Amino acid sequence: MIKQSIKYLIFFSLFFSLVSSGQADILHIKVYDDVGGDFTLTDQHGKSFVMSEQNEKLTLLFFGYLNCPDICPMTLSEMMEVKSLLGANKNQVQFAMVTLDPERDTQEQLRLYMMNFDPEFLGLYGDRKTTDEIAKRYHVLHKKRILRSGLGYSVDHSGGAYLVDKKGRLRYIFPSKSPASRFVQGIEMILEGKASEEIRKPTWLEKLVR
Amino acid sequence: MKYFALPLLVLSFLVTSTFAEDPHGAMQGMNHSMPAGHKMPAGHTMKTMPAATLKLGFNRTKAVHLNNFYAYPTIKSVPGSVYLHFENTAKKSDELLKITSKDVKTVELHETTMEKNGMMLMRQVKKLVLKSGETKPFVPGGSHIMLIGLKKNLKKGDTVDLTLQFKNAGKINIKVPVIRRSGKTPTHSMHH
Repeated sequence: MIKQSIKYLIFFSLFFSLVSSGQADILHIKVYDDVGGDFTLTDQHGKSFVMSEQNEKLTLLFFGYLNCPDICPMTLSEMMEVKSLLGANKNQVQFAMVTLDPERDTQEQLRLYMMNFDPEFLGLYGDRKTTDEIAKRYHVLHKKRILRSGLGYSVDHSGGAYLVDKKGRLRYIFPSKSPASRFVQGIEMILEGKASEEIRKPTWLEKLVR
Repeated sequence: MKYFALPLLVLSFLVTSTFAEDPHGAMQGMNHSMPAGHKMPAGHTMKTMPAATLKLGFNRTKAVHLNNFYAYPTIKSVPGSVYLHFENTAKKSDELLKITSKDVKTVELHETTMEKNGMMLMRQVKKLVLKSGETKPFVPGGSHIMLIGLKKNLKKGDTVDLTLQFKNAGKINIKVPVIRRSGKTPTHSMHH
């Protein structure tokens, strides 16, 4: 009896994951009103960055820290790829990394760091309180972890990138390891006005988690 | 029987459909669970890499072969990483005892993993054992050799000297080339 139930479970899991992975090709872009929002940080050139005032460009926002020599550079590399894939549309998008480690990642550090990727990418920082508040509103999990290593501490954090439109509205959250083509697709959909402007409703699972 | 199967069935539907859609990212990591190359058989990782365009390092002087090693440009105030493939061609297993370098204060092994809640963790790896015939890829998003306390900024064209000490294979000195960071994971051949 239990065996049969397990068979059912496996069968249906497989079936629905197949169905849903097929659907995953379409981006369901809407408008988030319960995640994200306005904030003010400073970029690596000392210029103030107000999210709601970025009316010229779409913003791809992501979170990281400079002492992360593996994943964060991968994300930045991927953003370089996205930028090159965007072609003529690349001037319509800005890329911004918010540091989750403002104690170590100073303005000058961010400036030097970005030179190894794309100097046009923004490195944003704020004080600890502001950083934590923004992370909370964007649902970014992060935790400083002391390591018995030359590194001192690492900052465990959730990945993903946030696509914000020219009105400062969060339109889509790309999970970690989304291919560059997904970002391009999402950006193009918004630029071409093909994305839905409906307010997104949280799923039952998100309600449960919160 | 039916009483038991039905809730399971409903649950399996809800769970799989929610995870697959996952627009919010709350469950990220379920779909995209492991970093590329992390748990893949070594041969697979190689095949996905296009033909050689960048000069990566190789050392096959000892029973442990070090293949495809490279580092990326970085500023010295933050750690750098070296990626490579370890290959133990000996009949018995071997162990990496330590890595030293004149160019870096501390050299460690670290591994990146992703938790079910989407948290990405980086942990130090204290022990690296290579079984006979085993290939261990250290690739972006998986494991890396971490260079902490670089004595100079790493620029394209520079090299980093590393000495890897193995229990059986002994000392292996390598010069790790610093290659340009592009939008893609580096491309290279196996030089077979």
